[in-house]
Amino acid sequence: MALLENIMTYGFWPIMILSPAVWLTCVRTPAGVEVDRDQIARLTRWVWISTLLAIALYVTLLILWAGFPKPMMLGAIAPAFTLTLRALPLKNPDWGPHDPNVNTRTASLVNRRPTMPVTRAWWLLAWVAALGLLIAAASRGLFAFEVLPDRNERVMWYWAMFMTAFGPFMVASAMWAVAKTREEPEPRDAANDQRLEESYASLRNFRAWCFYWLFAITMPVGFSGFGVVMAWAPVSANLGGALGMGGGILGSVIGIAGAVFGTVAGLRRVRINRELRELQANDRQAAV
Amino acid sequence: MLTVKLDSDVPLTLQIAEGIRRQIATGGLKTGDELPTVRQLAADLGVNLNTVARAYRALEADGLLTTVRGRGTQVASATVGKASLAANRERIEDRLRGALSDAKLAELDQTAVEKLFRKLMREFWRGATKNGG
Repeated sequence: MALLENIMTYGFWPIMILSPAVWLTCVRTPAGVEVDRDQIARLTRWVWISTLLAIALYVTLLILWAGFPKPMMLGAIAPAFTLTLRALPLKNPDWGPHDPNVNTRTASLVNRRPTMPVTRAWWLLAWVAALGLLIAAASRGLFAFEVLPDRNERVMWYWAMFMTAFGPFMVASAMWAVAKTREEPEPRDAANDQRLEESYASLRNFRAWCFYWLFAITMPVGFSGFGVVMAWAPVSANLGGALGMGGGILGSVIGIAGAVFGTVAGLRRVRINRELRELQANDRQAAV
Repeated sequence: MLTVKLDSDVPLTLQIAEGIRRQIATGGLKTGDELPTVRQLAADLGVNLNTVARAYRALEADGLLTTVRGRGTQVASATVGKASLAANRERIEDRLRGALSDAKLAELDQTAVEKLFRKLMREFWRGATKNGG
């Protein structure tokens, strides 16, 4: 158990730091695609230099200040990460929304906002759930102060309110994230291929529903639900451990679901980019 | 559909405005049609937000588009307005003269220009007829 804990504590960040550079190095240029090899080589070199500097910084900090706040490393990862994002589509156009080697860009003039599958009724459901749970937790406060003025119960209630207050905030954030799915880049081919349009629409709606169920329902209801239990369970029931464990499991499930959703969406997008690249190649051939 | 060329000598703002103008003229976009948001179009074309915003503003100034807060940008009219017929005529003449100068500088002779113009006219009106414009 201690070994696993050490691996998680000290091994996670080096893996995070190395990932972009390893990823960039492993990605291959598709056959028949002309790329600027000099620029890619230059960028890859800088990605590795920034990665090694970040690793050196991590090791130095570990030696000098073992307990340093590890999220500080996010700042050190940023340069390698940014350079990788720039280099990836240059090396393989399927990994970026726009092929940097193509100078002709086509877009649809149809507004995608009216195609939103998450209707007002779904948002009403999310808001009713989040606000309902907030009210359920808040109402305990009245009892805690007037009927049961126990300090421990009040502290527990403050924590419960803190957790449930996240609910409406998460729903509001989800509304923004779901709306943004309509503004993801969807470059098109000149011949307006119907299958490409359908692929985009399918991915767009998949993302909208995933964001909705994850951030507007599961997270607010899950965490606010815990908040309500915390607010109403008597301190004598000693539910702290069980609630902590439950919260940890819920958080992990949401994290894993988010990672799976992100990976699936990313891979589907790569497939669409490949389709687009082939269609654009056909367009160029037709123009010649 | 709207196509722009990143390596063209024509500024992107102008290419976008011309593309939308052409869609309106040929009936591909009709009065009341909602246009993509500036963010959507900029993301799809992979260009700066301001480039698209400037193109929309130019078309709004011509009276072709209108932006209503909360409802987005719509096609306001399929014509640039009859009130300034003389001004419109002058503007069209200026642009044709500009195109002719370009052709001359590109060493196209009169026959080639006439041929090109007839081809573009045919394509344009074929598109307009197809869209019911």
